[in-house]
Amino acid sequence: MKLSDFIVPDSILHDLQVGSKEEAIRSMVASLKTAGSIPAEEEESIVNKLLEREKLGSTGIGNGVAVPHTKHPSVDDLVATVAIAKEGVEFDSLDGGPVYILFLLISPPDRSGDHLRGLENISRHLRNQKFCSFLRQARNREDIVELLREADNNELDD
Amino acid sequence: MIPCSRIAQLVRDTSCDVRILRDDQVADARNILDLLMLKAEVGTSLIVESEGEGAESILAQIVKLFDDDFEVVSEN
Repeated sequence: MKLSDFIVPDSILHDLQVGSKEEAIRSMVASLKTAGSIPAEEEESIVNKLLEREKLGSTGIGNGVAVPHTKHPSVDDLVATVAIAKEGVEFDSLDGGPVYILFLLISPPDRSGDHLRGLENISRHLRNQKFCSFLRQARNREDIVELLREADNNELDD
Repeated sequence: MIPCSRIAQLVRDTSCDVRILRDDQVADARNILDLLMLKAEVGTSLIVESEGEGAESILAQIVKLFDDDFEVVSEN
């Protein structure tokens, strides 16, 4: 599985400017809706599921990264988007620090394996400091799409 | 991801080295990204190793997390 298999390029937000975790999640889901990757009428339901999941424990996993995720019946396949918050967002992260890189993932409820593979794939790349550093320096959506392509092709390996 | 967070939180509060192994893959239990890369679904066999002061206690606490289903019935 590659990042390009499930990240929707048109939904990527290279300059997310929000004041809270909820706003970040709302903006990213709205972007997936605008890109046509989730049904418009399910937007609120998906946001609510993501926020409910955050109440169980923050997906801000430290080192400036968050991976909000949920399972939702309105999607047939794994879909995801990326956002970069240059100013940082408070996310109740494990290390207490703000979040700069966000990957938001939605998967069908009956596809636990794909959900785990998606998370594993994202995790593998997020361990690469070069990938994270370049993501934070991205000037536009195209830069991020290119970085994802390079990551998929292992061109950023240390 | 909740199990990974719970384990990492627990281990970060100690000075122990804790590793979780799945076949030939080894994860540093402090690192959620490491743990996620194990792709451990329900039913997966894992080995937990701990070293350092209080190693046995941290091992028992991790086993309890598994026994208690990580205090979460179902993630979504």
